[in-house]
Amino acid sequence: MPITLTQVARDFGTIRALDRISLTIEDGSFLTVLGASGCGKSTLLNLIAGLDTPSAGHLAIDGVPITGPGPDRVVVFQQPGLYPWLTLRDNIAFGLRMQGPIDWPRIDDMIGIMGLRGFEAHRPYELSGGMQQRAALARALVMNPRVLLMDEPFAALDAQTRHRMQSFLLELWDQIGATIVFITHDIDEAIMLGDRLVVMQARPGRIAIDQKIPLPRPRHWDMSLEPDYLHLKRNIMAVLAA
Amino acid sequence: MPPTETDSDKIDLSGDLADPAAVRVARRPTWQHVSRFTTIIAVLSGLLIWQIVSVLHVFPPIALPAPLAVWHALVRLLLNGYGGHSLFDDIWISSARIAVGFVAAILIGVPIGLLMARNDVIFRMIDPFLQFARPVPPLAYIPLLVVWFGIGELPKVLLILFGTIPVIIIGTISGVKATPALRISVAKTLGATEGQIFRHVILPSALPEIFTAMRVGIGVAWTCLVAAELIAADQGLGWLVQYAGQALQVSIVIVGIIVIGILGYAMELVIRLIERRFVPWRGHS
Repeated sequence: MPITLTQVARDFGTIRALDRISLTIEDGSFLTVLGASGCGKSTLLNLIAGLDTPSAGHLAIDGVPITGPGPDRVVVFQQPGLYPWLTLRDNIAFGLRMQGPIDWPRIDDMIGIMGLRGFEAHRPYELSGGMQQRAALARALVMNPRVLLMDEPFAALDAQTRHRMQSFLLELWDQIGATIVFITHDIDEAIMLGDRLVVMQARPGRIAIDQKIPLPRPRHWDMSLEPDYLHLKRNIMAVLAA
Repeated sequence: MPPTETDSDKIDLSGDLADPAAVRVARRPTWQHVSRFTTIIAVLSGLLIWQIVSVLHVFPPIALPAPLAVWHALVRLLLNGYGGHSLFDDIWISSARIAVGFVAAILIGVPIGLLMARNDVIFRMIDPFLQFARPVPPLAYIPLLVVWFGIGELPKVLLILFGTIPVIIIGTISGVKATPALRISVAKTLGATEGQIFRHVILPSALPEIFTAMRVGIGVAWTCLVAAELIAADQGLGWLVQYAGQALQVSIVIVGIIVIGILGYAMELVIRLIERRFVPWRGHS
């Protein structure tokens, strides 16, 4: 189920946020999109999600044009966006409830995978930031999406929790096999998580680097000291500084 | 699951997975006690100042009776009633008028507010009437209501309804508009339809503001009550205050004011209780 973007542009008034981006995201790949704030990376994600429509060009998934949001492309946002009037369990079940009958064993399995067992009846505001973000991830994953869109999902977490969530996501991705598009402004996160890295530049938002990440899997943080990694990081920093 | 190479790669959730009960937000009982104590002291000080001012005869006793005189008036009112019926009749009839008018304002106002917030055509149709009605003082409606609906209970209840419904409508609209965009985006990407988003996301998001509007509205309703009981009433707390005022029985006027104040406060507390039941997340989102 490849996602194809063809000459996609998005203008906000007279400002061109995205300038004729063409990109094909392969089925089952892990794409990281890196850029400073204002480079249009979130705009790109919203277009793929169907939350926004392009000013020019078109987007398709498996050849079918993207005309709106759908549960095949679930988004995990920077803020968990859990509903405070629902318990943790009901929050995770929210998407399934919108679609029809809820597969409760599936929900409870996911709660176990996310390490949230024992907190099912808690309200979101009674949980830590890391737990809230895991619940948001669980809510997305129970939909069994083909594409998981992640908009700086760990940016609001403290460094240790972020590190744990990154390792966790890598293990999870190994099992679910969904296509992931992961937006970040953190160079190390972008290199460490993805198969392929797109670096964007602002004004107008465009792709500056698009390359495979030459690191084997499973990933490990020691890799960040290897020559390939450092070479890539140096290139990226040069582009971001430009 | 892929093999992990070192411990640092393992998913360590132990930090988060402490006793679930420990995660619950702890309340601070000490501060609550202190603030309650402060309230009692403030009320007692107010009574004391009132007593001192009246004992010193700064104002003539007929204008400002002492707290004790007001207390005696209350006891007399409770024992003998006033104007041929007991104080409880006045309390009952006024509370009933408020309840009917206010509940009707909620039952009509909340749906109107929801429709206005959701549909621009409906908003443009109703908004001019709303903005027009809002600054009109309830007293101004009285002659019209009497001409149209006579002097029974209906015009009194309608006056309370007209007085409070703008508050409820405006609060409901602003609650809907204040729904965080993220909550709606989340529901959209999970495949929720427009109707589902309204029912499951926007409506609960608007609840805290609707309750705030109700708490403001109940105060307005009591304001309207006194006006409503100018309409050929022969009982009710508003009537009591006006009737005793005309007879220069200031102690009874003060009793009426205090009873209105206490009842208004009690009704606000009831709304707060209901709010705590239906919006337990208030202040946490």
